[in-house]
Amino acid sequence: MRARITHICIILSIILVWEVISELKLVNPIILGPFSKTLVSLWEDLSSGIIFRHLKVTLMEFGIAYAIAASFGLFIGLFLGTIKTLQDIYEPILTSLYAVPIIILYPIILIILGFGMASKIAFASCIGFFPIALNTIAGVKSVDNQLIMAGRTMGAGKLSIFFKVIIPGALPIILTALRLGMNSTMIGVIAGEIIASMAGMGYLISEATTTLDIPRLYGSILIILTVIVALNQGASRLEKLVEAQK
Amino acid sequence: MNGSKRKYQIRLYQILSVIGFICLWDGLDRFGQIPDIFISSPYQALVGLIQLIQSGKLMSHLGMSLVEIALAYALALSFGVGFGLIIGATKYLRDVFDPFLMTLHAMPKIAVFPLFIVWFGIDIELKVFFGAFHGFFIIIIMTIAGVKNVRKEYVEAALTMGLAPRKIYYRVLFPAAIPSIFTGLRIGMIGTVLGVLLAELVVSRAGVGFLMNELTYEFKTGELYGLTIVIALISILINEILRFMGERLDAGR
Repeated sequence: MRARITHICIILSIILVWEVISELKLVNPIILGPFSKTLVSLWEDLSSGIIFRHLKVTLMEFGIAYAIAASFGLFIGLFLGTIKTLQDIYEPILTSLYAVPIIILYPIILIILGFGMASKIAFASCIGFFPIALNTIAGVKSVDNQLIMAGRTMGAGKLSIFFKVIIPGALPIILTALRLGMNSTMIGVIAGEIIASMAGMGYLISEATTTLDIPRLYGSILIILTVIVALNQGASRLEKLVEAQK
Repeated sequence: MNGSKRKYQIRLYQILSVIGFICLWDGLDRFGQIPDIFISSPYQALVGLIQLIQSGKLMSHLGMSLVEIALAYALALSFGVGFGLIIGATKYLRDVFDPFLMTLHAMPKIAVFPLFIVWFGIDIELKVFFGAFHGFFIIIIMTIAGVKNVRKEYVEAALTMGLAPRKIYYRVLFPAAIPSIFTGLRIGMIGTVLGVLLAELVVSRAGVGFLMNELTYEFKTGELYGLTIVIALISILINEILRFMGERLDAGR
């Protein structure tokens, strides 16, 4: 409770300090516009529809990329997780590749797919794939071996062990995998848009930077952060719900 | 005996997989009828890489990036571990800061990159601070988690035996939290490398990210592929070194 109150105080004081130092012109207005002006500009952008237009593009790219990342990630993760030999061979390779900043593939993807939505989708799904695949493997590994043995002794076939023991057992960690992958995919979409694009929230941000439209810059960043916090909250709720069911 | 034989077999299959991947890549280039500006063959990538080395471009830009990464990592490490120890040791501070740190860690930091440009310009400061910003959160989160999980008995025992309270940090909490901190440091390194490269790719005048942009816009595909592979190998190498160190540390306990 005490921590809650401190949280609210911290957020309020950040907004207050922001407003005061920029109204008193203590910082260069190019660096920080007043909070009130940011809100006004945000409201204008929202009512003129410019934010929704770009947000729609970003969310569409995100949706497609996430669907690709999640299906490949889950498939590879479950596949490698259940077949021990393949796991021994390929898990270390995946772990090593995870250390590579995948952003370095973006120039190649740009050359092949161009500046449109396709390059963002390809890039973001690459970024989202790794956390999903690796954590799904970890989830399958975390299933208690005795449960599998028990299932086998009671005469369950391989398929029914997979669907009735391994998947439910690994579900909590798989959901975490999907949440982490969701964040990575979103990072990929926004990063792709900021580096080179023609539409989307990342485009709006980088355009506001180039034209030094500071209130719009802060406003669109606030919108992106809100979307991400909302997605994360939803995912955490789902995780807790599943955890409670166990 | 059987175990070590199996280990070698696994290694063998891993090497075969990598070779298979290169063959697949080569085959795609050879029979795929794709123009050279889109996909280069492994051979062209190698030639491109040698050209980059000979022109001296690779060394100068790579040197720049490595310096930036080192500085950024030093910042992320000292602030992350330092504040992590202080925050992790007090329950009230943990409750206050944990939600903020978690949210900030989950957010795509690239979204606030334009703010870094308006604050720091587009030279080395930008790349160092943005790299540190990327590495900092996971380091502080893992440090807090490590300190939080140190058993209370250790601290109480140390106090009972007359250790001065201010010495608790580096005599008890820090050593006991080392495994968790080290995981944070390794993942933090991945984040720092990512941050520096991102900054270079988005806006900069030097560094491997800048070089990549240049090669992309000049459609020097072979050199771009070569450079990409070199950066990937370097990041894998850094990560493996840190992981090896972490394992040794664990074994030595």
